[in-house]
Amino acid sequence: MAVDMKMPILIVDDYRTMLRIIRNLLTKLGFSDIDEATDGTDALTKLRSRYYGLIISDWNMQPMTGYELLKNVREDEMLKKTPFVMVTAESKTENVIAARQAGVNNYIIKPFSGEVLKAKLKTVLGDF
Amino acid sequence: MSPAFHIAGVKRALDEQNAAVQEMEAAVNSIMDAVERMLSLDLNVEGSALKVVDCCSEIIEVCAFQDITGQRISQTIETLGVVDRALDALAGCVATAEVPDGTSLLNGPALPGQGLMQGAADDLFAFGRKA
Repeated sequence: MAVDMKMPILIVDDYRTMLRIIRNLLTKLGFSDIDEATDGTDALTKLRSRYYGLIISDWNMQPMTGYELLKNVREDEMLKKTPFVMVTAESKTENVIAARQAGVNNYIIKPFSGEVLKAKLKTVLGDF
Repeated sequence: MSPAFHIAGVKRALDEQNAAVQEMEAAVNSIMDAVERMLSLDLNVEGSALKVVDCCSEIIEVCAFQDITGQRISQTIETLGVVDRALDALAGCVATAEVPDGTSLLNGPALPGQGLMQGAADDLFAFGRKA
């Protein structure tokens, strides 16, 4: 099934620069409906207020980390099937395993290129 | 402040700062390379607009250094805070100084050569999926 390039995507990061980078990369890939949140709490509020087809989140944020956001999303009946990609500088084995066990759909280590983002999104969403 | 904290905390802070300086230098060089490539383009030649777009995309990607170096510097600030409180304790200003617990999953960016590369994370991720 073709990927809906107009589906709303929520990007979550406490660094404005990174939000801009991911927004630009997604726009270049053809996605047009991109929303932003600056931590897990902000993201959960937005996720419960409208539909999002994909979440792309950093790990290291306060007060709610991306890992806690992921666990909250997977425990929420309405949100649990939303694809979730972690984009983070946390690059230890235990982080990847913990995220995988919590139900993340893919894991991108910062810094990353547009090509890596595209490849991982294809893995999660299908070809586009 | 225990010797173990000195090694794990202060040494790491020094390494983080060195890594941040190197990453900032590499990022600035990459940005300047891309800008110089744009400046050398003959805009009357067909396809040059696409090359400008490619250079701009490269600059945007490289700007991710601000996130990585920001996290490194934040960790150093945290360590300096612990050192400051420990020095206060030594001076008798406070009774104890807390040393952060190192078991958290919040480790921040790995130092060069210490973290997983994307390929290794992919392998681990694929293994986890099969398990």
